[in-house]
Amino acid sequence: MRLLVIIVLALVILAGAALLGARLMTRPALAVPEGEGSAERGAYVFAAAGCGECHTADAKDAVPLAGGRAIPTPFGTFYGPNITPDPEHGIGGWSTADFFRAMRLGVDRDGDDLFPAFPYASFTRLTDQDILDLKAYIFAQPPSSQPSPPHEVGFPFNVRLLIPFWKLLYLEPGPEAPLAGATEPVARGAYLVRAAGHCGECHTPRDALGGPREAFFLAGSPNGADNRRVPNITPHDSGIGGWSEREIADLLETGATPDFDFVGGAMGDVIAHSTSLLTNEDRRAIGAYLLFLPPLPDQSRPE
Amino acid sequence: MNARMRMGLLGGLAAAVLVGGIGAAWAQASAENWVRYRSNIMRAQAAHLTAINQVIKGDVTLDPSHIAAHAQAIVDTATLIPAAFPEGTGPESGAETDARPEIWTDRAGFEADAQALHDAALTLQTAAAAGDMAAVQAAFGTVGQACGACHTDYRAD
Repeated sequence: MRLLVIIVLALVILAGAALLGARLMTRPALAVPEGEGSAERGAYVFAAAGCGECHTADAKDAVPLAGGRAIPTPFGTFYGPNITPDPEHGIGGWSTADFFRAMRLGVDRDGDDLFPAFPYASFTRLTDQDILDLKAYIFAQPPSSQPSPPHEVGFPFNVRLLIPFWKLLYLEPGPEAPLAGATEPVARGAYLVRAAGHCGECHTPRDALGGPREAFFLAGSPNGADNRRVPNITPHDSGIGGWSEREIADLLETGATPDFDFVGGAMGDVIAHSTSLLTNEDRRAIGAYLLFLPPLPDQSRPE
Repeated sequence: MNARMRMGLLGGLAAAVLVGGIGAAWAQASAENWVRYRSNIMRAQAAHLTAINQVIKGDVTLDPSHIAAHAQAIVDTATLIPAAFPEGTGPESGAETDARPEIWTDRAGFEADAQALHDAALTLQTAAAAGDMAAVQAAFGTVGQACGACHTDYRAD
């Protein structure tokens, strides 16, 4: 019996290693579309993806996209790097293919794995066109030669060699097919929530390896943004059950809940720099998708 | 050191620990009262905003003087906000609070935000008293922005 368990375990490990090897070998094969994006459209993708929330420092006189905001997590504190088009300290030297590899596969220009604090497991779902447009917008911003601050992450999570294993478990390279069998607003909302908005990065609880527990998608997290409790946003009594699509859209525009509490902290930043800049139609679409989700009990207050 | 001295020293030490512990517990209980007090102020303001919104949306048919009275309540209570956040009532007290330490390290910015709420509510009150519903709508939005701006900088979620 015991021998059997050991054999099965060994086989599982071998299969995992083989799978990883296969994944690693096929990794460079990434379809990169031809052509240039539109910086004007990219401004909207940039807002929807909230890039400035992590890549611009908190200080009022901070240089946009020159890096710096601290992202505290249970694994350590990460800092959004400089992503201005500065060739040395930013991403000015990156080709379109480099940019696509970062967004879809979480790899930087040197081929190093990026920490998943950069939400590529969500951004990988973006369409080709949106990534092209986003790159055009970012490359149209003024460069800054401010060096990126180093991450403060302890062993073993600072070992980049472990990241491919994480990707094997949690990264499903995109783009993601549009949500089937849903109305147009719900499908659009799914895209805004799952790809650009990367809402699950904070609102979905994570397991011990820092991967999202997809069975509890958006059901709240005890240690999400700023390492704090993040609420359940599924239509359950312990979440946003009873809210209307309009009320969700209003919160995303003004920050007001139906009983006129005003959200603050990290979500206040998301509203100020991202969702308040979207069209009303898109905010309603996010509401429609959230109400379309299965209601799940709150995961943000573990027993 | 004889036995009696040792007993005395131990007793003194125990008393000090006890007093210290009681002191910390008292400070926390006191901070919890402050947290309740200030959230009562803001809950009252939220209730007035909800009521104003009902009038604006037409849930209830009332003339704008009612909005002016609700707005006046927000004007009055906005001035109470800074005093509701005395030193020692932040997260370091052990009390469960969403107040961020920046309230005390950036006091001028915090008080400016409270003043901005006061000013926005006053504009709303004036517009409502004049019966100018277009101005009421705009001012109502500005009041909300004042709430959200302060919570984004000084409240943890």
